[in-house]
Amino acid sequence: MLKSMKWALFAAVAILPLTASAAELDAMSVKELLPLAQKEGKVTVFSLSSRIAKVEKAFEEAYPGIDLVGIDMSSVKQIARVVAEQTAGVNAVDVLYIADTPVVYEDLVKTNRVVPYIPPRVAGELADEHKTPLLTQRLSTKVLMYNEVANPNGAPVKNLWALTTPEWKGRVLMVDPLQRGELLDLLVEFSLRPDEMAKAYEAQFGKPISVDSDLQGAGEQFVRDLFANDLVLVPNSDVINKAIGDKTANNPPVGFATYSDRRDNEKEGWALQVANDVEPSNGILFPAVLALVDKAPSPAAARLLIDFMMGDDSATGGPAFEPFNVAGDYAVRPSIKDNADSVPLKELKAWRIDPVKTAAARKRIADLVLTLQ
Amino acid sequence: MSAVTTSVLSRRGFLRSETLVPIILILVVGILVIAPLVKIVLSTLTIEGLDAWQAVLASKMSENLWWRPLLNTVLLGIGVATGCLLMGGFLAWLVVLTDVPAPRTLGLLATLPFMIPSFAAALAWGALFRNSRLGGSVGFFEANGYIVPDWLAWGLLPTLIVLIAHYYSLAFTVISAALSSIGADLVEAAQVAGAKRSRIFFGIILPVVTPALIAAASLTFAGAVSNFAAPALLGLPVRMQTLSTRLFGMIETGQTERGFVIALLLIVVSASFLWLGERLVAGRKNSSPSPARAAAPNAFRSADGAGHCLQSPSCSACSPPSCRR
Repeated sequence: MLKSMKWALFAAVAILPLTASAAELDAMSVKELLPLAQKEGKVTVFSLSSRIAKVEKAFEEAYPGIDLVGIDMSSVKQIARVVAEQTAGVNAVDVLYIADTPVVYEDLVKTNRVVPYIPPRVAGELADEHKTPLLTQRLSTKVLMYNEVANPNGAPVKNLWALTTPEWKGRVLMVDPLQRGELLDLLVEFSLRPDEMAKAYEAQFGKPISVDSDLQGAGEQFVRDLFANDLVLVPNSDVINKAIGDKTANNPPVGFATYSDRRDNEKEGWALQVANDVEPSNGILFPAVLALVDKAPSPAAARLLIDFMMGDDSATGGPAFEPFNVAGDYAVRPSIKDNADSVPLKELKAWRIDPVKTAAARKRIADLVLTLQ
Repeated sequence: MSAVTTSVLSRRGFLRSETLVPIILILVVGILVIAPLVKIVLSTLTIEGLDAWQAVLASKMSENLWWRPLLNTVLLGIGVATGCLLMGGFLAWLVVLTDVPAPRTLGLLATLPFMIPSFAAALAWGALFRNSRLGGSVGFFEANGYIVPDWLAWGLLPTLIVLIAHYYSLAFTVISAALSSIGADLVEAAQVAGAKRSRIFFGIILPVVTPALIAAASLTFAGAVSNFAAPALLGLPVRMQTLSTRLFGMIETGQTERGFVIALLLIVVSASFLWLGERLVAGRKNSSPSPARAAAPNAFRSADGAGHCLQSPSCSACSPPSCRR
């Protein structure tokens, strides 16, 4: 019965290949999507990572006849581009591979410019938090990093509040949070955890915190104190990695950076390592999501690509996921093992951001940072 | 001058040059300048836009969003314009009015820095003066045991020096064009006639090149206030912001309306300084000689006389036909 229905569906699909509704496409298996996708012949994806080039190669090998056009573009630009194109009635892109989720939810999901697609193949094994409102492909980080050559006994910082003491004056680095959304999200997370920040303050200084009257909570106080302690802002992650990681430096600074950049240690001569044993936390974990663009020109191929980028059932995720399976990034599929060189996800002290809450607090913290710079 | 060429095309009706040329001009200006400007202005008049005006000009963020970047921008503009005039003017004098060897080669070399992007110059500054504020590899001086203070490695002063080194070529080109319209023979003639050095400088050279000086100052000022790369690379580590780096940050973090407001204000600031320059030239209308006049063979006696037609800063460089009456 089920089988005959499937065949009937397949036949219907074969006769009217481009009229399948979104709901029908959402329910289709890879096998059912493939012929439709091949008829479409092309799928366009905006990607926050240049590693999309590797995915392109693997995808075209796995599914010959479908041309993957992967365009490397920052999250902010993707959002601006999708909004501008859809306002002008242009539908050119199928899939977004994007971070900056607080802004994505605010500007794209709420307005239905992008919609979620959860491939049936992986839907059963994913935790709910990775399926709503969009499909999370992996978790990335902005965490406290230090130089492991200069600090052979482990991280020089055990408590975030230590960064506001004279010892670390002018020696804490961060990419300008008013130029990069993820760093702003990090500061927002501090502000959303006032109780934990207050507790850590007491652990560091042995007395309860007093918060300035114009601020809301210990987290915002931490942001202000961090800036007051001559926090050094830099333009991009390359500068910060070099500054913290340089193997030859004798008294290197620490900073909030990307854990997975540790993968370049050998190639670049860095000694980047994550400071994990930090009170109350060492930073944030934030999702990189895959979203289907509304009125995508290739709806079947788009779904096929999203399915593909979730990786195969092997421990590494196969050629589709391997480019993203590096130390310091975390797959959300339980079948894909964390990289042996990294702290396991369960033991990483970073806070998981809640994009919806972050979105709500983002403007206030951005304005606070503006007054501090 | 385009009026002359297009008038050949047609002399009748709509296509008459008197109608056609202004229409083309209005179209070009409309598409390239007015339309984008109107769109930006309109988008700052929405509810979010008005919030942005308030945030930029009248909130607790104003100091960091507007006043301090404005101060830095104006300081950079004035500093760079002054520095470029001194350096470009000196070089122009050297190349045009003295018997320095190989003036053409010198002139060509002096224009080279303008062809190198300003971020390269900023990186070069880092190669020499970068200190350990950013950890990592330090510059030449600190690597050799000197301690480079933050004010010399980062911020306003390095940005100023880098931008002067970048834009002085512009001043040199404009001023040397004006100086060559005097020619060394005019100066020699004045010397033969017994004029003192100070009189030659203030009576002949300065009046002739003043419009060029103002043009050079306006151009280098505008270049400095709109430059992004140098203040971005050298300013950020000490949190120095100019209007152009602020503008970038606002757009980059999706605070588009605030970015638009800053962009509009930046235009107003630059335009008022350029207008001021223009006024200075216009104000000299009745007190200085025309370079064309001064350069004419029978005009020695009118070196500080009347008669002239300096309409625009570029007049001395291109000598429009109206000046050659």
